[in-house]
Amino acid sequence: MTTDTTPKMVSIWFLVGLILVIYGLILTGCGVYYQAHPELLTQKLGELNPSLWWGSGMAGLGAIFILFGR
Amino acid sequence: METTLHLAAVDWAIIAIYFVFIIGIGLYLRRFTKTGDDFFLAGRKNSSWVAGLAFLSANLGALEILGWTGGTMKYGMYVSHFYWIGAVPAMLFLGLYMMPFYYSSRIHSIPGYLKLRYDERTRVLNAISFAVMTLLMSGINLYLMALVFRTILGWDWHLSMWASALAIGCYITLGGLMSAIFTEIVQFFLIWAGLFLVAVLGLVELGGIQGLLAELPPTMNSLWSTAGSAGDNSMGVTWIGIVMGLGFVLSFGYWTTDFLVVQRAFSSKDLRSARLTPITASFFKMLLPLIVVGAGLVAWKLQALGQITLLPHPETGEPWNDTALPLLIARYFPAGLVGLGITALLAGFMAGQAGNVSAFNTVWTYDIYKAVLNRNASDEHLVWMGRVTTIVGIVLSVGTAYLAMQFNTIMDYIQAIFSWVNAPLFATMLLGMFWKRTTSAGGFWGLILGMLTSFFIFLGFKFSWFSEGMVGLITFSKNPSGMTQNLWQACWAWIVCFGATVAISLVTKPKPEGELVGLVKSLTPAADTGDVPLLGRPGFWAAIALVVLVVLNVMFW
Repeated sequence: MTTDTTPKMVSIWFLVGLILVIYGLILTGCGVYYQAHPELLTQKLGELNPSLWWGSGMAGLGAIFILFGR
Repeated sequence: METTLHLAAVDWAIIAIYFVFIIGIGLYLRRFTKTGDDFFLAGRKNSSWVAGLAFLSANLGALEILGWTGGTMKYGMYVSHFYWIGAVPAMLFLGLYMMPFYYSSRIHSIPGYLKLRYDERTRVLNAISFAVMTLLMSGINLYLMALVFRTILGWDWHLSMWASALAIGCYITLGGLMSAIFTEIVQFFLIWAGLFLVAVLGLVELGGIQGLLAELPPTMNSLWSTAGSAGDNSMGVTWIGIVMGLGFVLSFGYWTTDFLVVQRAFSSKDLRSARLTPITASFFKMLLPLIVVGAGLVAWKLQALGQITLLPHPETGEPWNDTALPLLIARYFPAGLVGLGITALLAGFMAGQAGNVSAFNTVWTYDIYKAVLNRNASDEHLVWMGRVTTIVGIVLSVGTAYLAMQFNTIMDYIQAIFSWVNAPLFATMLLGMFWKRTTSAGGFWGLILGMLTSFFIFLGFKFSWFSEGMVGLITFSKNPSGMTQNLWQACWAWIVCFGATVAISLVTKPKPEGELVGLVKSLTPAADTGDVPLLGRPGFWAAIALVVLVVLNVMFW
């Protein structure tokens, strides 16, 4: 009896999920910090704090990809 | 020097993570890259989703996004033609009609098909012209990337060129096409994550897209209603130029024959997935104007309000359209998001480069090295050659970039190469696949005449060789824009190649029919799709894509 020793390749969707989660968490962290220091948000529409909602959206989407790609 | 964007520590961290991530992908994939099929065709095991996103992403360079965002400020909605009629019909045609011949003949490259259908000289002619085109384009991309980052961030030329070239060299040498495909898909998501938000925030600030469209001048706010006369629209083209030049010759020439994109479909696990690859990609292609045109319209309005000013081009001093998107990033993004936006642009540049390099190493290895220099090379030796070629290709690209930096006018030649190579090739492919009478001599000489025609017209415009009457005959316009000249240059190259191939074929001897089975439509049994459910059929999804395309065009008529 032979055993297949070829390693199983991780799914591309897992890797996409991983980078989206990493970046999403960093941006969410920035967003939380900006929430505490709104004076730092000098850009147009800074009051919307896009880092917070866009970052958490990316992290959530990334988590779905990770679950889907496992 | 004065720059638009300033990076904080968190932005640098995001950029650094991207470099670590893609080099890590290369290192990880090395263990799966043992045979020629692994290195050059990613093991032929990808689904249509993976191959489809890579197919689209190989074309989705950062320069295109920057250029067309700025282009929207000049041409308005006409930019959408490049994403819709200028891409989708060709992608569907490739999936439905051409892919069966490409995929089923188990070739490694487009020149490989030319060898089977015509002969070795046609293959080598196309392989050499493709290899040269790819390397030069790759060098130009590298140069323009460095120019963009120098202008908006003040980055050193040499550092940005060498850092990205080394990273690409690393992961392609390690993992081959699979590395390129993985990073292209990561890039696709990063572009949406990093750049779509720019358009969203811009539209929030300015009150939505309908209001913006209503404010555009009539020459810019529609797709077809102003295409009756070249003088009525900002692009200076008529609907015939759009349909024939862009929608037919340029688009079909690129999407159906350019190995850089088609190679991604060859990595599919079976014929059905290969056929679905460009069809899947077409849906995502139709979405891209959401970023490009959306951000471009925002930039146009803000410029009209005097709230942004395009940066001057470092060489010409003219307002530089490519800086529109970075200006919007600076306007809306705080630290962190700036890093993501810059990473998206970097990823776009690098994925485009990786696409060029992976296509180059395949064509060199199989269609020049193995075909001409070492016919008995083993599979293991070819993988080694592919890795060496990757490094050589990167070095030559960097060399071309330095050349472009020194001699700016060579950019005109390099950017015109596409219509010298691909536009006539589409005629050669079309006749080869759909007319069994096409002969090897017809294919070869027709291709040469088509390429020469394109080159001659290019030189004629560049050095003003043509009289006014001649210009009118070639372009159907008295004062054609550069864009119109390009469109007609490609059209004439195609027409000459098509006509010459037919004429020469009629007086030369065709190949025996037995040698053309699987390569020509009338001699190949139709693929049996009887037991595939409707939702799995390429024809079904192509029909849906076509309906969406029509609806989009009617909506913005």
